[in-house]
Amino acid sequence: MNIHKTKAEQLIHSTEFKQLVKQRWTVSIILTTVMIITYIGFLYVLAYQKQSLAPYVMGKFTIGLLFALGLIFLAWILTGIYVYWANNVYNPEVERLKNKLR
Amino acid sequence: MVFLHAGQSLQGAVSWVSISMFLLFVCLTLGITYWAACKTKTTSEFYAAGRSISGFQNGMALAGDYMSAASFLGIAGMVALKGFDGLIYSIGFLVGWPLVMFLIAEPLRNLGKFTFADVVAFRLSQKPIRIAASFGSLSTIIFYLIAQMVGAGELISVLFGFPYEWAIVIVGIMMSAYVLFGGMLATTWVQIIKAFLLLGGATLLVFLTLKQFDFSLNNLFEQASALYGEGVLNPGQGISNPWDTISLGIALMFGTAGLPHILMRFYTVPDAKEARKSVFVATGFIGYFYILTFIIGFGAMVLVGKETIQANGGNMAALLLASHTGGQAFLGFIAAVAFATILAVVAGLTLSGASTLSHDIYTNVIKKGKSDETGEVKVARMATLATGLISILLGLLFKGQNVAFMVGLAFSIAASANFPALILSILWKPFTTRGAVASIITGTSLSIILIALSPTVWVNIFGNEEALFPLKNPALISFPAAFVVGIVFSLLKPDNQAQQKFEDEKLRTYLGIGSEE
Repeated sequence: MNIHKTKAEQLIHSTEFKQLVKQRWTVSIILTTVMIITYIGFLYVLAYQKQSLAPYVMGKFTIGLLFALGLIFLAWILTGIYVYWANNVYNPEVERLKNKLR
Repeated sequence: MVFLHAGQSLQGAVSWVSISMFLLFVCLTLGITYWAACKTKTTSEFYAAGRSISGFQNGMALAGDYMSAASFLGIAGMVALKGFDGLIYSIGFLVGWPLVMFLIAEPLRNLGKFTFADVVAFRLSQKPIRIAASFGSLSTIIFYLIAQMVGAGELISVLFGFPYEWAIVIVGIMMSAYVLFGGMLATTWVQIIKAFLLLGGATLLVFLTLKQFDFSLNNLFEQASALYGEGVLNPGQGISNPWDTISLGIALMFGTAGLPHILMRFYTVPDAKEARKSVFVATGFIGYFYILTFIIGFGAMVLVGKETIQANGGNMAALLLASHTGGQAFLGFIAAVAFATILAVVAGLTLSGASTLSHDIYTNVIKKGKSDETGEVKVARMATLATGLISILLGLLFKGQNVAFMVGLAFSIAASANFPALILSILWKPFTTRGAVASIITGTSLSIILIALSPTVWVNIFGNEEALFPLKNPALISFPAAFVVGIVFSLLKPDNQAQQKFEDEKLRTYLGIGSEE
């Protein structure tokens, strides 16, 4: 038990664990920022420069509509990126560090 | 509600199709409840379905929990009457989901047990945190529940032709039955079936609508603008106060990550990886659903006409369109789907309210964390009955009231009371008990006070001349205020023990070592 505990403490203070935590939040914060800025940006343009969203691009699709649909796709893409990163980068590293405790 | 006949009305329009569809749904879900009841004995089974739900199933159930009748009927109606601007709401509801995934889902699953208060209280003092968090949770749940119950009563009395009071009682009894006997397992399957029905029904409705436009959205938009002018396609026509839009946007985006009944669902999956997968699935389905409601709205605008939709109260656009494209039988089907939608959402809310009362208040405050399994399940069931009764009473009490603002209020409290405390406790080492309590109380009370002084309540409901607070949604003020108060109170009196525990819990937060199985 005692050895296990020191192993755990060692792991918490190891650079590889700290690196993992840092990387996890870097990825999360970047993706979060992209989502927030595009959404609030959309609302901002909608509120202050709505005329710039009105022109038609393809047939009866306005820039605003494409922007709005783009936000829905962006939400899918960002969650997809996160899942891909977490499954292929984060989780293998988690497993490797967990094995160190055994 | 008074229905003037402008060409078409839905009053009592529902046929044997919807009655039999509805009965089929009731029988199926009660069958599942019976099956689930046999498997629901321990607390982990009651609150979290024994953590046996797969990521995909939970994703469906999350979507089912989130896609309320308000978003199906309300947003389709708003698009039908206002055109493009209805989409602004849908997007706000959707963009909260990526944030749930990036910031909340995994740490929540790893640190908690049954409620989000478990995570906030993890390294802080149990009693004050549990009481404050329950205050935030229950306020969110109650306002959300009132809006759902009143909407349900009105919708069902219109569609099925029986009195409002009956509708409320039927919904109340059904939702309590699911939760009381089947716990989280039954509630989850009710959500999954409902999500399946709703997505299927809406897809079929869109198919039948687009068929009339040669499957071209462009044709649909062309006819809409030919009938009602270019304005319906132009974004931002209905925006008078830009800050209002941004405030609502903040509430919708961060509120999603603070809804107790949504957060609770992450404990039903076996681990953090499945939790992540479930948000991915939910985001996909919910985004798809909002694209469908947008097309349904425009379809109703063109095929049914704004005048008829307006004459039917604005919320019936999707149903009128169903009747137009698929006749009585299809209307019956969509009406039954709407009923199932309501039942599933209120069941999720009831379970969440009951778990706050029994797990946070009874077990962790009154019993100080020392209660036995069978005792707690018993209390949880009593709390379910209490929550069910309270919702029936509130539904009856608010009959005929304008409760639309309550959904916005629920989201504002979720964004300003629950989300800041949760994210600060996960991310910010110096967070203290005093900081958390102060933050939750500030977020909840500011939301309630500011909405009472806002144009929607102070002017429209209380009948005053001018609003004391200019915005319709308080989140623009209450959301940052909750963060500032939480941070200032934490820095004023640091708590070394909580900081040490923050380090110790890291293996659990990031590697899942020692998390609930």
